[in-house]
Amino acid sequence: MDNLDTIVFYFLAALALVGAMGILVSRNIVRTAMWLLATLVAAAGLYFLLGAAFVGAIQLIVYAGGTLVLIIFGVMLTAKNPNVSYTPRTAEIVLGVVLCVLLAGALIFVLHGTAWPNNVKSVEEVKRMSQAQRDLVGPNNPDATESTGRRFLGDYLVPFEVLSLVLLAVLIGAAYLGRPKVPVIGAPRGVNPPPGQEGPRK
Amino acid sequence: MTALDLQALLPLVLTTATAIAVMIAVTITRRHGLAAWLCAAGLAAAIASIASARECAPRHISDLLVIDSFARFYSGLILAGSLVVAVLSYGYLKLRTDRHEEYYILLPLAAVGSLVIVCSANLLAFLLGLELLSICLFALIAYRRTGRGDLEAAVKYLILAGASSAFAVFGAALIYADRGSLAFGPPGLALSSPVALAGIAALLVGVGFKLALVPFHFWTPDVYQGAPAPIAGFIATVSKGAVFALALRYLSTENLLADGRIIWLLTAIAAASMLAGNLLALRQDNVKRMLAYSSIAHVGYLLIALLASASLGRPAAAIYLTAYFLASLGAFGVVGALSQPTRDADALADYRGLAWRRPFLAFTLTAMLLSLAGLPLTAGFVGKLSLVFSGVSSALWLLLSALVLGSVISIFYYLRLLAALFATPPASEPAISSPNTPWPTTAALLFLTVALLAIGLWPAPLLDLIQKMAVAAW
Amino acid sequence: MLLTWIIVLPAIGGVLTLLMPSDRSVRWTGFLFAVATFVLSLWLFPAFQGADAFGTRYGEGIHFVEHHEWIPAFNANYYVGVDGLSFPLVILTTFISAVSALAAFSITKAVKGFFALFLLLETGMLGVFLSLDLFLFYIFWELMLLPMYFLIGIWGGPRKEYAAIKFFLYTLAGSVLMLIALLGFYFLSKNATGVGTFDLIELATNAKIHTKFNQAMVLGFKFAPLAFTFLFIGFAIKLPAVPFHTWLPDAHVEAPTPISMILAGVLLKMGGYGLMRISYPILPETAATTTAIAVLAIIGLVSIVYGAAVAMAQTDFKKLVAYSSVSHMGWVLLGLAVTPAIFAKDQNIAGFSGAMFQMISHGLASAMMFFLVGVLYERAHHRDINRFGGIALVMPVYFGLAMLGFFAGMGLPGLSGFVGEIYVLIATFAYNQTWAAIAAVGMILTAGYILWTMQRVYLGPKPEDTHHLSPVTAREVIVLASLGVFTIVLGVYPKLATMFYDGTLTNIAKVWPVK
Repeated sequence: MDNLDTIVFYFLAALALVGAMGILVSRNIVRTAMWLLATLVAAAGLYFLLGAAFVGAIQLIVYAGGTLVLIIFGVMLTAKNPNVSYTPRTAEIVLGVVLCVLLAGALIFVLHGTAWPNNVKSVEEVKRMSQAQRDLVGPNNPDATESTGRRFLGDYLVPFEVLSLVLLAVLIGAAYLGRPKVPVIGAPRGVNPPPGQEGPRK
Repeated sequence: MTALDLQALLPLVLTTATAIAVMIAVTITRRHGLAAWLCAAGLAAAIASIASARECAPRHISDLLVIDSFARFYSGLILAGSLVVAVLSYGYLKLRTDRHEEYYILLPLAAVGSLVIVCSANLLAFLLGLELLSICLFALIAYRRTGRGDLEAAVKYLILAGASSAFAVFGAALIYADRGSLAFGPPGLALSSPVALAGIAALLVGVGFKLALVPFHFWTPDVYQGAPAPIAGFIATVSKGAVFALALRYLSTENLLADGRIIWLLTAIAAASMLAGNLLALRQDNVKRMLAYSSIAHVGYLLIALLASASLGRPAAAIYLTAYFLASLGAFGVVGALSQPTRDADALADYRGLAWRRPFLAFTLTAMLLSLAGLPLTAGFVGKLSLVFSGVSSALWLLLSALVLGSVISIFYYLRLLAALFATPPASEPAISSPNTPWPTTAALLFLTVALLAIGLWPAPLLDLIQKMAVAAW
Repeated sequence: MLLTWIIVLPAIGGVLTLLMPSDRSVRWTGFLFAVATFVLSLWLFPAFQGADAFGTRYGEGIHFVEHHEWIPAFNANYYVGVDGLSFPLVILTTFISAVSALAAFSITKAVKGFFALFLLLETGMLGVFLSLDLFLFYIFWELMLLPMYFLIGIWGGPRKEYAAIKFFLYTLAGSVLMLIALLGFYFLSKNATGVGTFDLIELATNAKIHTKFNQAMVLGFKFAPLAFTFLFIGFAIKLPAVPFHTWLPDAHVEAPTPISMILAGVLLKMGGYGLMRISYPILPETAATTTAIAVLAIIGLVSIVYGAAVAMAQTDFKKLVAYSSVSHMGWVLLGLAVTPAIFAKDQNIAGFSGAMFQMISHGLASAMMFFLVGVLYERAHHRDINRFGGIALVMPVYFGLAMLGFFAGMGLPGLSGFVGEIYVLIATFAYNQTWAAIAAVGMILTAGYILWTMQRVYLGPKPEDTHHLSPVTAREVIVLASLGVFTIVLGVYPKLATMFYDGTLTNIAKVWPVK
């Protein structure tokens, strides 16, 4: 088992890295989005591998499912040409590289410098904990996903539904505003501005 | 979730159902009238459901929401305001935009956001409601998509609302870090630690933005000017009313007024809002901007009720807000009714001699302006008087002086518009030939005017209702 | 219900005029409702017959009282009643309104709106005189503001908008000060008795409230003088007394003739009435201080002399009449000011009585003078005194009536103007002889400018171009004659007026402390 875990880990890590590289090198924005999908799915796989099923699921739903779809939607709705490509300027490349190196350095420094506690709990320990503690422990808690789900559809149903309304509002608002512009049709006679004076088609 | 919970939540459920129903109707057939009627009928049903559930006791829905008589009163106010906006929008949108129907999905959703804010017993619920409200407003502000100021207004609102939400979330996070809970109360706790105090200050920024109090008011004139007139009315009334109700609840649940620093902070903000709002309004030739600045001053007045003792402050806030709702919606309604398809009637010149061209609209606007100015026989006078009563009883002399001074200043700019309305019409062709007023708009304006004058003449029933509903302890 | 009917009848008429089909029917409806209100107000007369009609102390002798709960939250009530103080002014209001409605037949622009606002204004005026609840009083006080604003601002002369806004802002500033004093009364009475009240009679007669008002400090100031000052400024603007009078010439000159008549005939009386109804009974100790007497009397004297002097310098006929109002209302203030002192000395209310008489007399005479100017303006289309002359030879009937009106204004013995001024002069003489002498100078100045004006306008050679100076119409004669008759009757037999109010005025005077 241990071996299989290791193999899967390296596979997923490689996928994440390749995806990230793909994002960098591809010029077409839709292709970029696809590479991003690979990275995000790989990261979700890593969470599952660590036993953090809930976080993994959220990663899939929110990032892979939500954000990515939003990007594609955005491209579809706003760009004149869905195959739009993006060419960075040299200054932007330099700035990006500098920032990335700094960020990578900082992360490595932090990872290296932190004294990681060996606080992995056994299943018996988890069972002795209270519900609140269990939620915090997360990874090793077999009930976390289930209890979270139960709460969303139980006690917190109303706020959960309100949250879905937020998404609905976003969807409708974006779909409406993102529509290509057309002249005012269906307006009563005489209210359409003379052509040329008002030019909504940009 | 019991049947009683559901009954208490009925206004919320019905308003949501309205949005969904309009959405489904739109998928079947795109008809402006149908969407508008569905929206209006749904909101009316939601209002009716409040009346039917008036007797049930405060109910906590999980620990996020609480439906008590206070929440019910403000829910009613919000829904009524949204209903009026929906009716006014019908005539307004008919002449503009090729797609009207999405508007009637977003409007009830914005109302849901406001309802959640009013009912929240927890900062999480507040933030949720705030987001829903803000997101709907982004789209509604830019709804005409003409590119003349409305997109600018929407982007401005988007960025500043985003920033203020970030402040509010950060404040909530600090408060959570301090006490491990986002629920309101228990009283006094928040003041004990600097972290929580910082959190409350950050929350105040978020709330102050939505209420457009002075130093967070910069967005107001641009957004009011750029937004469609009915939406400007919505932002001025429903959005502010909801956040104000929440502030009222939060302040007294946490007993924040026990802290002198917070009292001073609010006093300074209130006085600055009253004076700055009125002084800036003086210089406006644009009616929408003038109303925007005056709305800043009005919320400043309202803060008196926030700072006064609960027994007089809460009813004063409720009655002032009611009067302010009526007058603001009416004023923006008239602006909308006069507006041409290509631009809103916001120049002072558009109103010159209106009384001779459109006597009904001129009369309505006169009543609204007089109420905003707080002259007797209008609801605004009763509201302002209640504020003064609550202020005197708590000896808020500084704020009362600012109120008097602000009111006197405000007379000048209201009178300026009023004088324009009745001025001799220019000899040449009027600058703006406004479209005929559709009957729903007329009906809505008539309703607002009658309510305004009725409350001004005989406020006792409303005061009774408020005493029963908006004052009850939570 | 009689008083409620008197108050609402004009408003009902106002709504009905809006429904009338033609300008002609609108005018007649408006006029008939004004007359009906006048007739209805005559029903008040019987209550003031008999020895005990006025009671023996303030708060008694109030007739046709109606008391209904209105806004329980503020303890504001619909409380109306009529006593000797309000009764003559109510009759004056309904009478002047009816006459002005007849005078308004010459209005041709937006007739419906004019009569609707005119009648609404009458409701406001009657409400002010009949309210016995301070809150109600204030509401009616403000109710007068808007119709007046529109009546000047829409139907006025060339600078109507400026004049209307000036009128509005002055009056509003006054009412804000009044509102502050009014709230002070409410909260201090709440302090004193546990229940805040706006009841004018209660505020004046409750000993606890009285003590409280005299002792309370507000923000480091003594309450009573502060409230008295605020109220005084509010009323002085309306009166108008000299530093606060600048709105009046503008408003009068720009207002259409019937509105000038109402303004001078009734609205200016609100100031005097307010002082007598609110300031003097509720804050008697303050009113009786030598400071208050001196300040009020000197403002009154300045108004008398300054108003007359400025009137003399005018070339605009209407502006001259407007300034004469400032001068005449100064007499009211002077009379009021000295009364507490002389009453303490010898139980004499000549000052009050004279002030009241002067208000009634000025109401009649100034309405008449404004109409006289209006008649001339309609024909000549200008009001420049120096361009008139010899009118007497062209319009003899008009000249006869003009003599009556201007002599009444001048205070010729035998006409009503004389009585009020002589009462006040006697009262002033009893307190301070220098002041009386100054006031007498004012009388001489008045005679000067009126005689000079009459000479310039009416006498002299016959003007060359007379075709536009058509004879006065029957309607105009009726307006002038009905006002003129009363100036003669009251001048010859002043008791016809004093018998209706002296009782109540004595009761008010009894509230004052006797030194």
